[in-house]
Amino acid sequence: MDEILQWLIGQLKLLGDIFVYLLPAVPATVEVTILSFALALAVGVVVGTVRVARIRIVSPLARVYTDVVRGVPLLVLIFFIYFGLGGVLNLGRLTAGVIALGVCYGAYIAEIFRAGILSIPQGQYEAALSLGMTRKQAFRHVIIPQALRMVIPPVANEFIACLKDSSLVSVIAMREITRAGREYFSRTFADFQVWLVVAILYLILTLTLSRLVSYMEKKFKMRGYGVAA
Amino acid sequence: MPLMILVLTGCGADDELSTLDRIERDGVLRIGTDATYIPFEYVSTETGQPEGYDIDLITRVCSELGVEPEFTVSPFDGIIAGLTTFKYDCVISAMTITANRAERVAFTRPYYNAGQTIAVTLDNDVIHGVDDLKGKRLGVQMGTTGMHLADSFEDVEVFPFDHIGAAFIDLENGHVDAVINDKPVTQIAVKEKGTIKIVGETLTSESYGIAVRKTDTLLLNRLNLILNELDNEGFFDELQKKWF
Amino acid sequence: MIRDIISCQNVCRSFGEQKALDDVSFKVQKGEKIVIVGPSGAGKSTLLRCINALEDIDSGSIAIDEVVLDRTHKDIAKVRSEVGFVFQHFHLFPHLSVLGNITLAQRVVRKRSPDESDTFATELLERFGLTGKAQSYPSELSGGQSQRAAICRAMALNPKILLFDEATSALDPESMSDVVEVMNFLAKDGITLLIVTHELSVARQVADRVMFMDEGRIEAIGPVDEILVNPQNQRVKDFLAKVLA
Repeated sequence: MDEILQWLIGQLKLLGDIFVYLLPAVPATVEVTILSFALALAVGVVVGTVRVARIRIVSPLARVYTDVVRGVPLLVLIFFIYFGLGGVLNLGRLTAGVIALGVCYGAYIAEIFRAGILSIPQGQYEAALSLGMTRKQAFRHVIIPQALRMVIPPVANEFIACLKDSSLVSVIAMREITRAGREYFSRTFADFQVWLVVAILYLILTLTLSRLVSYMEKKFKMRGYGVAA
Repeated sequence: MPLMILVLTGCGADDELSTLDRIERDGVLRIGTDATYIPFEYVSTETGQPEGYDIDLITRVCSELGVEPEFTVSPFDGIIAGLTTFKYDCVISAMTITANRAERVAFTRPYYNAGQTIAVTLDNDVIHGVDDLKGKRLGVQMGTTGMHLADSFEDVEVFPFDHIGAAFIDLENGHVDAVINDKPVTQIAVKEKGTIKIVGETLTSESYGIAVRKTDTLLLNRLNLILNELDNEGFFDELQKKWF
Repeated sequence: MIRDIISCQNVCRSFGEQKALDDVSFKVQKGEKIVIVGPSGAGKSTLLRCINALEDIDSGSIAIDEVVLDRTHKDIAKVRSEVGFVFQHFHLFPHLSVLGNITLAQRVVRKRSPDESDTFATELLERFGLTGKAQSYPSELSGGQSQRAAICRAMALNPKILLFDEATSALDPESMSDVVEVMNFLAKDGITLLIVTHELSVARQVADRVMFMDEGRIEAIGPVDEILVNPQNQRVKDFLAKVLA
């Protein structure tokens, strides 16, 4: 009995140790995720709109972008941008990581946003035009605001996926949660315990994010849309 | 009582079918290696198979055992875990014998003597030795003795990479100031790249060993016997000439 | 001389094999109220949409106040802003309040100040019996209220012409009479109205002239009496017989 208690205390102490070691890396994970996703949102909304609007030259380019980026593994993208372009453009770790994640998720958000725009009834567009708005004005004041509200749930999911994928920047030696975990592990070989704490940390972050997103969904829901108005 | 027997067979303890027996019976030695470390082990771009100093050595060992080698490529920092979870039966991966590692695995006698060195870009005039590393950014490979050494230095920022090639690229791009790594691999990199140089003295003296599970004493003894024979034969010298 | 505010010449429009508009020609004078009736698929809605440049035409021409419509022209939006359109399904903007719906185009298209827009919008709401609904959202309005709000929105730009595309078809009878009352009200105001409808009562109450369309062609056009009370045209007679049965 005594032995089991000793072992338990030892384990808890180890877990606490790991937790303390990993905690300073959490802000880095959060920072990468937020910066990347902000970039992804900006890119996604623009590219999604361009794809729908069928503008000469630009729209086909947008199509190429979304196809290519979604067809390449994110890890490869990160390597390419950091080691490949990084030398030429002298991109720092955070910059390269943010660009890679932002460009990658931008493509997915573009597709989601495109679907969101297409889901807005044609009548909305016609009503805007009939009031004398130009195409640009109709998009800006009528279509896009509605599409943005429409896509909040799928975009929120992408945000959480982005948080988890931020772990990939550990390969360019950026100090975030996963890399810190691997460092601790390689110093002590406490494998199971390390990954347990890493998983818990990510879980805390994703759950917090989910709650935040639910809150936002409620706040921005258009009255009268969806199943539960 | 039944529970204990189950546990024993699960561990492959020597009094049931020993690992060595199983290897001889199956005719295959399963080997774990991190084939990203020229010239010890790397994957050939032509054949797609692992090649290198370590590969040649273990293949010779296999032929002495009368079995075929079967390689599993695994990232270095997970490679011991793979051994203890029976994914393979030995590890040869330019792995330095350390007390820390010896707590988890058993090492054969050393088969190679290496040491850590400092590599910098050719135009670097600031770093001449270990004393100049204060306040600098160091690139290392995750989980290696190079990383542990770098960690022990005061006032440095350590950046561990999955494979050492990435650390060297980082060095060339100017994102780290120096790379701490085993001498032999660094020497090859210096020769191939032409953009970096080694400065200062060799910082440590380290030996490479083949790792097996602690319970596989029969296998360990047999490997040691073979390695001794190969040493007497001059096989190690041959390999040195071939790869360096 | 009274200008033709709408002038259609030999307008043709096909959807694949289907001829939606087949050589349609007619003129509307300023201040006239034209009600367009006919069986489903006659091309009534298509005609209206072409007049508001929401659809292309394959041949012929349409001129609004002597400006020929050209959808590719960069100022087409300006021409559209002079023509108001009321849709069968309202198409109010759900993400804006009722007030927001009415002020949006004022600010964005006419560049009026927010205050000016708000004031005018409130006036319109009062005029059309929607006082107090300014802060409501479209989802909170009844059918009749929604359509009246849509009319307010269309009127916010002081259009010369107001087009109604089956505006009462989606409403219950009570709401419908509310909207017809609005049409009457607007009729007295001097604005030009083009109303496509299934309801012949609307024609009787509001119209100066009635236009009967069938299979993409104008079969008859003339004063209410001529078309609906004593129809000469056989097709009109058949149509009325079916509808009034």
